[in-house]
Amino acid sequence: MSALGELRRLRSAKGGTTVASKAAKQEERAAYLFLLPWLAGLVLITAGPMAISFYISLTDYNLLQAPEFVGLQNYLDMLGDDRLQNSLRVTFVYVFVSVPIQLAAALAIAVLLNRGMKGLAFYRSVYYLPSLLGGSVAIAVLWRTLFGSDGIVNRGLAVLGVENAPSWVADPSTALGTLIILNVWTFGAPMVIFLAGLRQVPASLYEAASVDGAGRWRQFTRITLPVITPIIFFNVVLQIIHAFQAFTQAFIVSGGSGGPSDSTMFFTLYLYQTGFGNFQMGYASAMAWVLLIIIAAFTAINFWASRFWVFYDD
Amino acid sequence: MNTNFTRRRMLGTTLAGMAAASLAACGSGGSGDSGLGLSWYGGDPVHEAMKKLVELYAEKHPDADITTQYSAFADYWDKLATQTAGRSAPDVMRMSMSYLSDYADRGALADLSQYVGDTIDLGDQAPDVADSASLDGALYGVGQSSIALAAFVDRELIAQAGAPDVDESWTWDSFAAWAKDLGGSSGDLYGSMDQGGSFQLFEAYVREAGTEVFTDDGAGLAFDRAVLEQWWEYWHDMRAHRGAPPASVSAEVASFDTWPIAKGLTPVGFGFVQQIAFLQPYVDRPLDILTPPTTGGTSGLYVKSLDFWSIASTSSHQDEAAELVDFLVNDDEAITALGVVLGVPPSQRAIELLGLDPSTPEGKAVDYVSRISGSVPEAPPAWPVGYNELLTLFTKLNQDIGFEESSVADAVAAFFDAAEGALS
Repeated sequence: MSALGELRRLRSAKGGTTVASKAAKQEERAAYLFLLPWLAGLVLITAGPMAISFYISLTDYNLLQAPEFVGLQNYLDMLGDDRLQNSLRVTFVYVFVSVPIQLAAALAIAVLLNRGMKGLAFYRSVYYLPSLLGGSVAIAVLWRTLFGSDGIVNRGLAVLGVENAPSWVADPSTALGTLIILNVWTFGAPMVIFLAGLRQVPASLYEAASVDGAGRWRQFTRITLPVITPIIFFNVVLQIIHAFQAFTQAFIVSGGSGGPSDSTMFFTLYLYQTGFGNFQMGYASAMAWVLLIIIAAFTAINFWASRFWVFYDD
Repeated sequence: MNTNFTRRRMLGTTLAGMAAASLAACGSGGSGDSGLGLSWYGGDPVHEAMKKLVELYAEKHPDADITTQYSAFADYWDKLATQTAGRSAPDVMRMSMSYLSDYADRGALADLSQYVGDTIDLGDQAPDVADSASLDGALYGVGQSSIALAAFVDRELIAQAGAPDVDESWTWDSFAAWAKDLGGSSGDLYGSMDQGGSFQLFEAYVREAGTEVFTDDGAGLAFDRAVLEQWWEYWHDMRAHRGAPPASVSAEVASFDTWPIAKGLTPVGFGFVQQIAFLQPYVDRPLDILTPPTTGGTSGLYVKSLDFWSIASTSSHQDEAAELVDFLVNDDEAITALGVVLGVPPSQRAIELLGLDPSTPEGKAVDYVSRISGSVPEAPPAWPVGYNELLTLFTKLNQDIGFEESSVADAVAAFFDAAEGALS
């Protein structure tokens, strides 16, 4: 999208100068040439499929026969779909519980690691590792085993004297919790970004603050937090988007069912089942557009709200 | 003060990050289209046996160039649906009864009747089996196996629990009383696996009451709401009295090693008869096969094929594909290499060719099918379009009842509502 800005700037530059217009034209041509791979990617991989998906969302399409135009019927049907509304509820709980906890954990660990300790690179890698693995199928399989009825978690509990603990992934009241823990556990990516941000906070500020007698906590709340608000904002936006799109974990941990009793039926998982399980591609496409609108809305809200709490240094 | 966090830079990075995230979501696909495509679903034993078959075929047809693709059942259908939509479905594909109508009704499968008796020989198959994939007078697949529902019984575990032995005279009532007794007195065992969510066993239950699950045209449910209410009440009561495990135990069931009967939690499980071969390795004690309980009258079981070899209607090599299908079901070496990994072979000739030891799980499965074939009522027509949607919903609703998230009456209402939308 920043490339579009460059393009616009190139265009306006053309209008402004008349002297070296031939050179400018050549340069512009060259610019388009260099942009071509990106533009091709945009049209073929992003914009084209999105346009087709929007059209399909207005049709009844079972994948095997030609789509049949039905207008907004798919969108209207969603209003009466209880399972869809449940999947929205599950997704919202997941996003609004796991993202704050995950970011708090990421920031806390980043602050600890930022104290100039020995072996920082090692610890940074160790804490980052789950982020690389967390979205993978293998970890989701492991999670299912960890939290199963005879998994490590329950064996640990047995040692502590809690016998016959339930299977955490097979009970509707706890299954979503295990997925939230999994997402929190992958705090490495935001942590590394926090860490980079923390290193940018000028030491002079802390020195001045200690001279004025501010303690650690005060320094953290009055200096560190305000200065890194842009970083926090960045992480909040990205992690919320990321959490709304979560799929693999729920798909694997629930064996593709979103169960038990739809308790881990993320919006994305229901979308997938509708499209590929029940051959309702029109409905699934409409769901994808609703998800896009939800994510866009939350991102817009975030940007709007950022005016009130994010501190920029310009 | 210089922190490098300018508004423009943050906005730029955020947007770039979002763009990267959306790009990362894209996958890639595509496949070549030179030789004959063959696809199947199943577990590792199926993959190994099928690869052997492909080798055998290549030996006999050196000019044939077969490309294979295979995956587990659940993953198979995403890919097949996408390929079919892109008109690049494999020439020969393994098709399940759960999806047969979905594909056949929408013109994705070739009518094989023109090949039967010519390229494809079905002379050895029993009529119920050979007709399994016929819809509206056309044949959309060749049966791979003869399948019937069965009860798997761990008699040694029953004896250890001090409960009386069971036999095929059991009725649903006597079975419930027996299961609750066993579960209640033992304390750490349950009488039976929870079958409230099994749409297939429910089909047998419905057929005992004299109707089919679906109307003849496949556009609606043919049974009474009360029958489904009884069924779910029955299993709800079983769970409440240790006749069946609580919902949280059953919700963990996935692969065969997680079946409660495999974990030694119960002596009785249910499934399609050939599954005994996959289940037995996880149970230390020998499993026996019995017919499931009945209401007392006739059985609701049937024997037919539920998995087929089908040919894509878009295939440009249909004649070669038909030859391959004939090889897969009729060639002596192919039959021997397959054994029972796709189920009990669909013909008496194949069964005799295998000559299985009746004390092995495979032998027991073959015996069971031969034993009940003559006595069970005629098989219902192919499952209608939308079957798969109802199948998964049925399991989910039984789970809702088990977790007390829904009453039986609400679940029954939800199922009938969904059926109206799914069947057409």
